[in-house]
Amino acid sequence: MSHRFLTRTGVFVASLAVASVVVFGFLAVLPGDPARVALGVNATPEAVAQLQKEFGTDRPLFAQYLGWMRGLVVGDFGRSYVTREAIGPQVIDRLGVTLWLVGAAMVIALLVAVPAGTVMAVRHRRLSGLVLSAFSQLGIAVPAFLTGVLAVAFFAVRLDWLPSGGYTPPAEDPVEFVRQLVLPATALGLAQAAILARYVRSAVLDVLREDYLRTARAKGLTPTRALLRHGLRNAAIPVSTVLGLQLATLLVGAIVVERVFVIPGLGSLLLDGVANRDLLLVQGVVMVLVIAVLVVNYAVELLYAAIDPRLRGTR
Amino acid sequence: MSKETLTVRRLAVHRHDGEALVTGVDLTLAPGERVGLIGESGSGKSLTALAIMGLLPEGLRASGSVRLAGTSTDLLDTGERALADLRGNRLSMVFQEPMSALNPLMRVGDQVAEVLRLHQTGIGRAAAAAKAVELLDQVRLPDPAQAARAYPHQLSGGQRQRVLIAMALANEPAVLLCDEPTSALDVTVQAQILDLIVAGTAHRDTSLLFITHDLAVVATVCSRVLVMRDGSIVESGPVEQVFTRPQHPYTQALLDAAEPPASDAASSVQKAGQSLLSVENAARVYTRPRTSLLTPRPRVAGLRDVSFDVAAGQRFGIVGESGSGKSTLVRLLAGLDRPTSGSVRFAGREISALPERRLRFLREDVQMVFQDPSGSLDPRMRVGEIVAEPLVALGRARLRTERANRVRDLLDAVGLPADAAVRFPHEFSGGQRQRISIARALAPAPKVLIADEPVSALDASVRSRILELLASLADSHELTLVFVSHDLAVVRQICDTIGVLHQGELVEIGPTEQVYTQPAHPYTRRLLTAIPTVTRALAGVSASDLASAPADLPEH
Repeated sequence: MSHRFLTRTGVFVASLAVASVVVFGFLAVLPGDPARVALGVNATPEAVAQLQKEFGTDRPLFAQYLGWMRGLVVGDFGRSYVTREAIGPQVIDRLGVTLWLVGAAMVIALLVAVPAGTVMAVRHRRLSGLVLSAFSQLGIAVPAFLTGVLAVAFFAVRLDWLPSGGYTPPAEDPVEFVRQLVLPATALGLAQAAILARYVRSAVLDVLREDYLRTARAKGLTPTRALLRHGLRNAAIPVSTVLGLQLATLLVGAIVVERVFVIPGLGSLLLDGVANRDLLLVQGVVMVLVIAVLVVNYAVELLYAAIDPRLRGTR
Repeated sequence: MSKETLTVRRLAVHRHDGEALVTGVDLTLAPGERVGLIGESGSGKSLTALAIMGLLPEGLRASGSVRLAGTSTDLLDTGERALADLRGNRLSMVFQEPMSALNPLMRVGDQVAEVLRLHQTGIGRAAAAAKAVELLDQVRLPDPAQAARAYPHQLSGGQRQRVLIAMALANEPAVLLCDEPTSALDVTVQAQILDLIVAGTAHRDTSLLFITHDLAVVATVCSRVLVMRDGSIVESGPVEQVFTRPQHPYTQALLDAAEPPASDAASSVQKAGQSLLSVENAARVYTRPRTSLLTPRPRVAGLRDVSFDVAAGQRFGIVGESGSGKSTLVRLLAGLDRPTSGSVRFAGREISALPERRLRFLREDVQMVFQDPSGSLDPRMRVGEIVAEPLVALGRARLRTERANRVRDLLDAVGLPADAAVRFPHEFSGGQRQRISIARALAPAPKVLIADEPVSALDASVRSRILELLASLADSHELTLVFVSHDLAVVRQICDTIGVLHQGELVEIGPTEQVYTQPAHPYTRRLLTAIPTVTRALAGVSASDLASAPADLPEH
């Protein structure tokens, strides 16, 4: 294993540990004792103490943290202070839904942004490139939930082509699953595609100026083939950084889009948890989101080495 | 049809707003003939080659005619697809910058194989890969099978240029265009690459158009030469005729700049006073970042056991190729870095142990001029501010009028008009920008001027004027000059004493003329052998003569 791989893995694990402390710490310092909240204002101190014991919130903070962490490792997020249900299965369940949404949005973003950005770069002095650039500006300016509402109004209500929301697990009805996913994933993906396309454009523009692309032309490759064979993979290096950052944005964006399209994902779970003052649930969901972002960044770091031999530590 | 491989008639290159960058270029290449195209930067040499290849940058248009033997149509009227079939096949090109000319993400063997598979129908993947290794062997890469599996960043600049030559010659082209293929390389590596180009084209009967600013290289490599200026050919003919009896004054000027008379610097040794800069057993070891947890951080010796003295008033030259430790030494002398062991003293004061805040005396007395005149000037500052900045930084000339006067005097001293002060760096040419750098360096009235490759980015004619300026300023301002360069000819022109650096060691030190005429160290001899000169080329010294290294030094 290369030194770089081990360092990145170390950084990943350390970030996880720090993130867990931060997430736990934030919710621990928030005012409002969960037992008191659960029992209401008229509860007797004995009853509160009893419930605190049951929740484990009577223990010192450090012990609570350790207990929570120990559970996290095996996927046990504890029981909700409000509904008394196990949090783990809910989070895992909802995570699956959100990952479908985010994954589909990312694929849509890439499918739109890579060709659009490349064309914008290659034709940056011509009308077609400028028109595309203008569209991507517009795409950045319009937020995902607005695109979502407009898409629902047009494709679902006016044309009745696609359902306006809801979620069906793919195992149950794959066709309905896809139909329901199209609008929310597009709404979420297009906003990111607009941003990503601009980065693809500038990365491809940079690559087009590179000497090795001129070498490729001098070898007898047509401009298009030179770009496809030698350019795009080089352009992928800066773009993959942006992609990693965007996945984090997508997870956050999903929270809003899930609301618009009535999708039972992690976002709606988080909002429900906040509304019910269900601290442990919120803590669990936020931690899962943080883990997801860290995993993505870690994966991007490893992806660099896969793309770029200069980072593989061979000299 | 004539027997010429390539016939170019009335070639012109226009910008789309109509401005002509190249006009009326006529040239022919016979099979196996080697023709040089010389001129200074901006003369249109590269555009001519790119126009022939059909690779002009966006916004430029070529007119006239370019005919290649064996093809029925004019290349300028040929469509992109048909042109692409010719490029890398019948018509090849090697560019200047080997460091960036290869795809960094692809193994070099694959890049060579690609050009074979593009143009040779029916050649299989394995056959192309095997042929690629064979080609890499022909360009004398050590262990070609291993080299084929390397990525570009694992090869040196010279090795990368070999790969590019292998690529260009892979399909036995009728014509090879070389655009400054050795200008970015060390002189000993240049000698080997030139030898390779000559041997490779001769072997295949390929016609060569060799573009360079270096007359000595053309004289060594080519039999015929075209002189280009401001977009047109001003003179052409056999090398020995053009270089011995130039008809055009511009050619004469280029020749004068290429072979400057040895200056009187060598005779000025006597005025050297007491030791001003003193380096004693200085060594600098760098540690590279870890590549593995199990092995210790790799250590690289940047400089080992270097000792010398520079006396006040001396003009001390430091010569070495890339990686020889020149920059490390400069950083130590300027107090920008500290030796791992040994000492560096300025006017008797040890500077290697002092923290930055106590090096103020050094910042006043030692000033630097850098290689890249455009990169070392802040593009958003006016020239007057740039020149006055050291005064402000050192808290001198606090009054605005006082500073303005000083700036005017300095600009005058370096030969720039007084109104230069209110203009921005981009409004000046490369040579003028280097004058600005020199004016800035002189602002605090330093005792020592360290010039790090100050003329390497400049054309030959500008180069000699900057050197003259430095020499006269050194006299008039009683400066001690430390002049660092890879170019022995330049150092010889200005320095009275030379130190030769090789792999971090000072292998030879002595009076300039002695080092030149009686080099003691084999490395110095090899360096001197490898330098092409017009005179020696006309006397019959060939590229392979330059490349023949003394046997006691390994090739690198």
